[in-house]
Order: sequence, then structure tokens, then C-alpha cells
Amino acid sequence: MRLDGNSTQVLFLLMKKYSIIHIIGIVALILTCIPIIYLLLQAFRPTETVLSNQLLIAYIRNTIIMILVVGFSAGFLGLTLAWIISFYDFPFRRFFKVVLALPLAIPPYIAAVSYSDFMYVNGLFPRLLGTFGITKHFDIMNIHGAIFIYSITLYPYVYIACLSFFKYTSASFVENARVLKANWVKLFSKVGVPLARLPLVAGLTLVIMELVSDFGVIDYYGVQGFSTGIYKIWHNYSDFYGAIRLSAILLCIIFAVVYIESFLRRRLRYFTTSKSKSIKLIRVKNARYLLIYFTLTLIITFIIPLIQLVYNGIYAYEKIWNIKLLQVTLNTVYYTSIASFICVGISFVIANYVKGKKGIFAKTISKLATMGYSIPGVLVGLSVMFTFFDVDKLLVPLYRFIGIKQKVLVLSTSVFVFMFAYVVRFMAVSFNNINAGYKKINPNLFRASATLKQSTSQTFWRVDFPLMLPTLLMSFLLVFLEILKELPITLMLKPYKLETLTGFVHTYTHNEQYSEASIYSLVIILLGIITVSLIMLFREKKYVKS
Amino acid sequence: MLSLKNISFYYNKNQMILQDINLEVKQGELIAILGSSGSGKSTLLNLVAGLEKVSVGQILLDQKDITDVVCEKRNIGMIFQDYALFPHLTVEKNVGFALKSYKDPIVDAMLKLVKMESFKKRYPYELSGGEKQRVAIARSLAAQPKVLLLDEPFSNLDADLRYKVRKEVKEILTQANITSIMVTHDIDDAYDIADRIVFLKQGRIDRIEEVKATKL
Ligand SMILES: Nc1ncnc2c1ncn2[C@@H]1O[C@H](COP(=O)(O)OP(=O)(O)OP(=O)(O)O)[C@@H](O)[C@H]1O
Ligand SMILES: [Mg+2]
Repeated sequence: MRLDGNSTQVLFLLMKKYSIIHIIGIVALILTCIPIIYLLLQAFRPTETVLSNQLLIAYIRNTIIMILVVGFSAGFLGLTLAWIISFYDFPFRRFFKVVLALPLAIPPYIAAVSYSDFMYVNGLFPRLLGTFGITKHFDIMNIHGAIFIYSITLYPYVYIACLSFFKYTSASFVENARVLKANWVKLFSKVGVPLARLPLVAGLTLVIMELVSDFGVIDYYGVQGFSTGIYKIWHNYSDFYGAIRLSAILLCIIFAVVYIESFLRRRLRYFTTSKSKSIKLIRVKNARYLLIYFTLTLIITFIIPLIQLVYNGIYAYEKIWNIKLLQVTLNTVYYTSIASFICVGISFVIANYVKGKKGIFAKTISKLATMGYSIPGVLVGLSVMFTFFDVDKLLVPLYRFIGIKQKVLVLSTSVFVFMFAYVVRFMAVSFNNINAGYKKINPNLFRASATLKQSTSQTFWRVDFPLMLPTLLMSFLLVFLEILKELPITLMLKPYKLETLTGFVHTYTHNEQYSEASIYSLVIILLGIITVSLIMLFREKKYVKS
Repeated sequence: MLSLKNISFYYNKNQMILQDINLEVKQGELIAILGSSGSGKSTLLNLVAGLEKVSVGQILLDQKDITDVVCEKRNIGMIFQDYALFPHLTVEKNVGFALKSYKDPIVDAMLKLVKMESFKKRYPYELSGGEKQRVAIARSLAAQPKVLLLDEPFSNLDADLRYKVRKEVKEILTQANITSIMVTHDIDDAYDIADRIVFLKQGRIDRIEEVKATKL
């Protein structure tokens, strides 16, 4: 592009209106959206495809069944646990409050592998039954198993959403009901359920997003679903356009979910209160059944998968436990941190830009920034790959010119593109968090800073940044956790030479070397536990009172 | 020294928020703006501070046109209804916010002026409403503005304190010899401390009244 007088002027005007850092942020955001748009444009090309109607119906049917059942069970688990912890007092309450969020540290695909081992012939569960004289084993590698795995790994999204909401909910609501001497079943169904509609909607949306975009579980259990369908059509049949068309259908379902969510949210908004008032907890006199419920949940969702992994891992312990494992772990932490950092950085700039703005442009920008999370990993992987294939093809003359002889796919097999895909996928996680954080800061502080002679950038460093720091750290942890658990993008875009924990887990599982895979899985879970614990601790801390 | 000439303001043209505001403020004068809720009082202060842009009209400060000058360059201080103290900074750092360093002697002088020397190291959440307000005044004055704007400075205080504090504020403002505009919807506030009262009604100036009798 040549810069004539006119466009320099336009550029100058732009620079005057927007600060450089905002321009960089917005450009980065728009770049992350290009692959998806590029991909979807291909959906309209008429081509032959292996995608049959039968297959399509199976995908849709399975997906809907899983959404409904998992939605119900994860919703029930998450809501009841959060409800009891928020309003009742019983032994080990604080302990359970934290550990019930820990299943968030287990990637669903790892839980899937672990549980199928646990239940199958010669698994720990049949052997345990054997000691009671029962000979039976269970094959859970089917849609029922998948539903079970999703329920136990995804319920913490509802749990945490409800927990946060109840903390800021009007105490009088519950106090009133209590005065009416309602028993606990009544209290829960008459007050709890209606009160929790908003966090239920928010939490369940996350559950559904995770579910439809998950790849590992349905892949391992052989369930026909969209993610695996897209991957297989592309990978096994090289039917690019079939994959894209399937993606387009999946996106329609997802956007429907997003639309329903925002509709429900708008209708339920009047329920939110921001005043936090500490509620006197109801003492539970006989906590036995309650403790059984909590302990069972903890055992099933967290301890069993962990025990199975440890059990498997023992066999490969000596072979795997070496400096290599440490290197791969550090490598994973390093790349995961970089991608998380970029997500947080861009989100912060964008959130700072849209703060307090009401125009169409600002609205579009924040919509774009929240889009990625609703796009499944397989699709992000596919679109980023597809886009950079074409970019690479364009750049071949350049590669030859700078002396790269044989290779054609330079960019698309690079770490850069791998990181780029992560950012596309997970930026929304940090943006939503940071944007919500901004809304909690008194806007007069920014205006006060201006009346105290501070420019926008001075205000940014002296007010925005220090006040947002806890939120930024929290967002970092959230994105870190998501990337740690991510599978399909790693499968599709990880440079061959780059060694990550997820990569090893997948390779070993693929080769049925379950013991070796277990150890790498355990390291992922350990990192996850650290991250989740930090997140739960951070939630408790009130950084500054205003 | 501060003059507002034919100022109008709207978010969209069908709905004027402020219309044809003309006002001359003299050096050292305290003007009170009185009006019911929604009459545009806060908006008027925001326009003078530069937090919003006027739709029509001109603002002059010491004969200089500052209509298009950004807020941070106007040299006009503002005290917000909720005081807007920075929650992450101590009292002395809040007061020194506009200065190069909070160790500047001006900080101590201002804290002394508002009688808050012994609260230096506290954080805003450790202060009462009246104390917060005095810190907010000190913080604005430390920036040495030519004009000070106060948006309902007493509305967060209960009746007893309100009476005491407004006398104090008047004293501080007189000592600092600063030109100020104070928004209020309490008629007692206005008659008690202002030199002139501007009655705002549905975005227009209804009348302007001199206050003499109640002085001294
Ligand atoms: N962002 C906005 N968009 C549209 N109208 C607005 C906006 N902000 C304020 N208004 C309108 O401008 C008018 C004046 O508001 P302003 O805040 O100046 O009133 P006020 O006199 O300070 O009232 P109060 O005593 O309640 O503080 C109100 O009618 C209000 O509805
Ligand atoms: Mg007001």
C-alpha cells in the first residue's frame, strides 16, 4: 500500500483519536477473528462431500442428548453443593468449599481414559466388587460413559458461578424464607432454585460450550459428535469442505445457545444485587447425610480418577520419572504462560478501550473479543491452519528469497501459529473476566485522575493498572488452566518438535501405553490443582475495599 | 475569571440537557448551583471540568478559550459526590496524586489545612465520610487549580455533620482564596455558604440570586 497525502492524513486523524496502544490491541483482536471468517466463507463453495445425512443426524441427536443430560446433572450437582456451602454451617465446610472445585483441574479426556480403566475388566472397580463375590465389569466407552465424564468434570463451572452469586446475593431473601420456618427442601426449591437462575444460566452455558467443543472424550469413547466428526472428515478423508460445512452447523447450534443465554440473562437481570452482606449460616444439626453426599461427590469426581492414574503410573514410574519429564513440564508451563499472558494483555487493552463507551464500534469490538470462546477448539485449529496454509503459499517466493529451500509450510508449522490459535480460542475467557472487573471499578476514579492533571496513559498506569492487577492475575490463571486442559488445538497445530505434556499424553494413549500416559496426565492435573487452588484462594481475598 | 457563554448540551438533538447557559464567575467567589434532580447540575460541572464536551457555546478561563482543551490540561479541580478517593493509595498519596511526589511539602500543607495530618498513612476505607471529604478537598487543592468544582459535597453526610462540615469547607475555600462552583439540591447549603446562587430549572438558568444577609 502506498501512503499518499490523503491516507497519511487519515492515519494521522486515527492516531489522534485513538492511542497507539489501543490501535495495536484492536488490530490484534481483528487479526484473531480473520481465520474464523475466512473458514466460514468457504462453507458456501459447492463441492462434493463425504458427509452423509445419516451421520449428520447422529451428530445432532447425540449432541442434544448430551447437552440435556449433562446440563441437568452438572446443574444439579453444582447448584446443590454451592447452595449448601453458601448457607449452611457443618464440619469441614471450608475444606469442601475448595476441594469441590478441584475436578476443574482434570481435563475431561484424562478422566475418560482413567475411568474406563477403572471400570473395565481387571480394573480396580470390578476387583473391588470381586472381594464381595460379585463378578462384573463395565464398559463405559459409549455415550452414557461420555455423559458421566462430562457431568463430573464440568459441574464445577456451575458450582463456582453459584458460589460467587450467592456471596453477593441479598441476604434478606434467604433470611425471610428462614423466618417462615421453611424446612431445607422447601427452602431449596422455593428460594434456592429461583434465586440461582442467573448463575445457573451462566454456569450451564460454560458447561455446554465446553461440552460441544470437547474433542478428547467422544474421540476416546467412540461417540459420534461434532468435534470428532469435523476432525475425522478433515483428517481421514481430507474432505475440507465437508468439515467446514459441519462446522457451520455446529456454530449455528452454539450461537443459538449464546442467544438463549443473553436472552435469559436480560430477563433475569433484576435479580442481581451488588451489596455483599454476610449471612449467618444455618447450623446443621445432623450433618451425616450431608457429609456423605459431599464425600461421595469428591471421591467420584476427583479421587477415583486420581487413584487410577497413580495406580497405572506405578508401572512406568522408573522409566518416565526423569529429567525429561521436568523439561517437558517446564516447556509446557512456559508456552502456556506466554499464550495466557498475550490473552490477558490484549484483553486488558481492549477492555480499557471499550470502558464507558456506548458506540457501535466499541460494542462490535467487545462482541468480537468474546467470540472465540464459543468456537470449538477443533474449529479454531482448523481455521487457523487453513488460513496459514494459504498465507504460506503466498509467501513461498519470500521463503525462497531468504534462503529457505525445501519447506513450504513455514508459518503454519511454527510455534507462532500454535500460540496464535490459543489466543484466538481463549481470549474471550480473559476478556470477559477483565471487562467484568472494570465494571466494578468506580468510573469517577478515572475522571478524578483526569481532573488531577493526569493524561490517559498516566491514568492507565496509576489507576487502571494497580486496581486491575488482581483481576489480571485471576484472568491469567483462568486462561492458563484452559490452555493446560486443551487438546484439539495441540493435536492439530503443535509443531512436531515442540514437546508438551498434552502431546505426550495423547501419543502414549494412542499407542496404548497407559502407564506412561498416566504420569504425564498426573503432572497436568498437578499443575491444574495448583492453578485451581490459587483461583479459589484469590476469590476469597478482597484486595481493596472502597 | 470564568465565563460560560451560550452553553448548550445534548446527547441527541431532540433532547436538550442544558440550554443557553450564561454565567460570569468572579475570582474567589463561591457559586452554588441549585436545582432539582435531573435538572442538569452535574452535567454543567462536567462541561466546565472538560469531562464532557459542550455541544454549543464557549468556556473562557482568564480570557482564554478553553472549550477544546482536554480535562487534564484545564487546571480545574473537581470533588465528586462519592469523593472518588483512590482505594489503593494512602491518604498522603491520594493528596499528592497530582504532584511529582507525595513527599512534596504541599501535601503536608494541604493536610494541615483540612486538619488531617495524623491520617497520612491510612487508606480511604479506614476513614469516615467527613474525613474522606476533607481528603478529597486537600487532593484537589494540592493540584493548585484555578477553579474548584464540587458536586453535592455534603450529600453523603448526616444532618449534624453536614452543618459542621460545610462551615469547615467554606473556611478552607476562603483561606485558599479559590474560585468555586458547588452543586447542591439543599437550599440551606446554598444560603449558608455561597456568595451567589444559580437556580437551574430543566436545563435553563431560572434566576441568579446574591446572598448577603446571611454572611458573617
Ligand atoms: N449518558 C446519558 N445519556 C442520556 N441522558 C443522560 C445521560 N446522563 C445524564 N443524562 C440526563 O441528563 C439530565 C441531567 O443529568 P444530571 O446528572 O446533570 O442531573 P443532576 O441535576 O445532577 O441530577 P441529580 O441531582 O440527581 O444528581 C438528566 O435528565 C439525565 O437523565
Ligand atoms: Mg448530579
